[in-house]
Formats: sequence, C-alpha cells, structure tokens
Amino acid sequence: MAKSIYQEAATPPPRRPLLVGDGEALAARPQLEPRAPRLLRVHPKRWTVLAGRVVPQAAHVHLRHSVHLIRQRQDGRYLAREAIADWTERGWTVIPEDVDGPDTSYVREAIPGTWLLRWEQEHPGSDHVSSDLEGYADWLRGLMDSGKIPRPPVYVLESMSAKMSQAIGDLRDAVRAQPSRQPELDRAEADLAAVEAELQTLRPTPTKRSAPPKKSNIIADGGE
Amino acid sequence: MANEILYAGVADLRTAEALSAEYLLLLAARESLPAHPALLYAGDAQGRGSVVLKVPHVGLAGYDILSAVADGSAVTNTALSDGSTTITIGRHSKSYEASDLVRLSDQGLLSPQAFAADAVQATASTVVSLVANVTDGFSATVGTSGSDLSVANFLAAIQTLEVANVPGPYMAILHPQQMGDLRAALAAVTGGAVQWLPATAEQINLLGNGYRGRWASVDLFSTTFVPTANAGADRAGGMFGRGAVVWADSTIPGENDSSQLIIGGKVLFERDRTAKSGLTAYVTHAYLGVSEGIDAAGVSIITDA
Repeated sequence: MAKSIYQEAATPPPRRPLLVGDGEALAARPQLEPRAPRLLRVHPKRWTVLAGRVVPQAAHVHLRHSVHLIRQRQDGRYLAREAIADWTERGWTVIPEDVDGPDTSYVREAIPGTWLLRWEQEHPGSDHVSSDLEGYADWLRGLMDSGKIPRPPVYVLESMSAKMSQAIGDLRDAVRAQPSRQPELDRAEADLAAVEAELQTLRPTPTKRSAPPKKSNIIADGGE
Repeated sequence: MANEILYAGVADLRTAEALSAEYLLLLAARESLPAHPALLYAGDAQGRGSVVLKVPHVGLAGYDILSAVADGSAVTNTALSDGSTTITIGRHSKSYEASDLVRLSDQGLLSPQAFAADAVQATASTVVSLVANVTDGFSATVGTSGSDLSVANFLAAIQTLEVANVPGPYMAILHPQQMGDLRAALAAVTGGAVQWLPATAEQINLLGNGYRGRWASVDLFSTTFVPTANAGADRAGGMFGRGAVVWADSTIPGENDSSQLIIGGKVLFERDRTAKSGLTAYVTHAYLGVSEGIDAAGVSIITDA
C-alpha cells in the first residue's frame, strides 16, 4: 500500500527551549564603571539654564582620597572639613548630602563601588545612565527658593544675557546657511528668555534717585 | 559504516577549551599623565616631614606695578599678595592574589611580569583620573548643557584664560565625547580651513597616550575619566594653564627586600606569599595627591555627554 502523505495528527512534543544552560538565571547588572561618591557645590559665578530654569552650574566634590585635601578613613568614610573650608574661602557653597532633611541623601550607591546622583538612573545590562534633568533643575530651584543656596547675582545674569544674545545672533546667521540648526536657535532663544525673566525678578525696582556721592577731591585746583 | 571517530566520542583526547596564544585586553582608560607644562608638579614628599605639601602663591615678578609718587613724597608700602595650595599625598593600592593552582596552570598571562607592567599602567591611569576629577571645579565655565562642544565654546575658553593673564601653553582635558564633538564642529564650521594638528607618535611618547593633538595652540588630551555634570546629562572637561592643577607624589624608600620592586622610584610593586594557603599576592602601592591651584588659571568646559 502506498504510504499516505496524509498522516494522522500526532500529539506535538513538548516545546523545548532553543537555548540550553542557565544564562537566563543570571540577573543582568548595570555595566557601570566605578564612580566615587560626590557632593555638589555651587559658586556665585557659575550659572546655567537647565530644562528652561536658571540654576547653578553645580560642580562635583569628588570624594576621593588625596584629591583636594580629602582623606578617606579606614571605615570608608571621608574627611572633607579642610577641603570644604578651602572651597568656602574660594566662594563655593557645598550642598550638604542631607540638605533635604535628616537621613536623606542626594547620592546613592547604585551598584557596589558606583555612586550616582538621585536623578541619575542606571539600566540593567547597559553602561547607559539616564538623567532626570527636569527633576534635578526643580530640586536646585527649590533650594534657591528655600534660601539654602544663593540666588544668581544680577551681574552674572547680565553677562550671561549678553553672551547668549551674541550667540543667538551668530546662530541666526548660521541657520540661514544650515536650516537644520533651527532647533539649536530655538533652544538658545528659550534659554535667553529664561535668563531675562530671572533678571526681571532680581533687578531692584527703581526708587527715588539717591544723592550723588560726595566729591573726592582727587583733582587739585592749583599747581604743584 | 561504524566506528567513525567523532569529536564527541574522544572526550578523553580533547580538552573542553584550549587557550589561544592571543588574548584581548578588556577596554579601559589607559592614558598616562601628560608631561605638559600646564600641569604643575609640586614635588616629591619623601623625607619632607609631612605628607601635605604646600605650594606658595606669591605676587611678585611684576604682580603689582609701580605707583606714581609726587616729587619729595614718601612712597607707601605695597601689600604683598600671597596664598597657597596644599596637596595631601595619599596611598593608592591594589592587589591581585593568585593560588598556586592558578599559577602552575598559567601559560604566561598571569605572570609576575604581567602584574608588574599592570602596576605601572594602573598608577599612570590613577594619576590621570585624579587630575580629571579637579577640572570640573573652576569657577569659570563655558558650554551649554545638552549642547555639543562647539568651536565657539572652545575659543571662549581660550579667551577666558587670556583675559585672566594665564600664561600658555594651555592644555585641555576632554571626555572623548567632547573631543569628537569638537572635531565634528571643526570640520563643519571651519570646513577644514583651520588646521588640526593630530598627535604624532613622538608627541605621544613625550606627552602620554591620552594626547590627541593640538588646535588653536591648545594641547588636547582625552580620557573617559572626565566626570559627568548636571545629573549625568553633561561632561565636565577643562582647559587650563600652568598653576590651575597641581599634583605631587612620593618616592617610596626601598628595603632591600627581594620580594619588592620599586618601579621608577614611585611605584612599589611587591610579592606577598601566604605559604599556608598556597597564595601569592602581587601588590601595588603609589602615593599621590592632586589639588586645584589658582582657580582663575582654569576653565571648566561643560557640554553634552
């Protein structure tokens, strides 16, 4: 009898996974390089616009043994009193780790040996770190509003405004030749608007004209 | 047919894996400290009575100009301006410890010579990482958060240093992302009209393997040790002249111990045998310190990461 090409449907064998081994049992870890814990410090001359808000261009205090007078104790904690005193003398304000309240911190150990700021997010299996720039800018604005860090000096904002205006002029010229740079121009204009708005709130309102200072008498009337 | 000799049937005659004669180094920042005049080496702390070195700043050599004084009048004394930078030398170490079984089965990859070579490179990279950690702390900054490093940013940094009377030559330490952005900007904005002088082999020998070339009279170095800024959105490199970044180290006194090797006077490489456990450790120590010197002699360059 000829063999039928039509066979009765058999019970399908149980599905076997394509891959063998226990690789899937291993949890993917973020592939981050070690990063020392950091504190943030702000300086009256360093300001920027982040996510549309004027905020300090905070620098990092890298808590590393023998960097800028910082020493690490045997228990792993850091001695930074001399470093903070030195920075304070140079005009910096170091933002305490627990500025948001006792037992809080804006730094965290994401994986052993790698410290990130609260607004930085690691990803499993990747070396990428996302940043919540809006959250970070909001936090800095909150510290300014609560008086924990100083507001920008007017002279700094005026200088920023002048430089940004000039850069915008250059960008307008560039956009004529390279229309793809339009978003860059839009962003620069928005940043300038933020600086101007901040200036409006900080500039003293004109009051009654004060009396001119007294004559200094530095010019002699007669001869030698 | 039968009795074919298949791979799966000769397990006793084969090993699961054979080591290749080649090996791959894992990727890492392996730059060495640039021997550049902009970096001030404050000296060796050995035998100085302290691990804290102070570099005086003094306002001489024309810092104050002469005052005009009327004939017959006494000149008033000029206040001498001074200041200082202090550097704390600290210990930086690491240890690799291998068992006898590992060592006896090794084909040379984990030899004492390999660990000694690692000690030298690791120390050089440590210095670079320490230096890169202070370049984001200058009070002057250029760049826009989230925007690529531009030619205008770079020129603004030079201008800032020139306005502050910082003598050249200048050195810039940038993250490779910033370096790439600058190269792209140079190609796009200047159309190649301004010459980038790429690093030659001789310059790399002299200035370290992080050297990337020279542009606008600024020597460019790049390393991934350049830290992040603005909650990770940006990188904070820097440009500076002499005096902005100060570093120091210490020679380690030898003990005429055959298990110790002092490499270049600065790197203590030693073998530590734990006989009872059959373990041999190769330990590296270096004593280093870095500080920010004159703040106005540097500019932080903060641009998109």
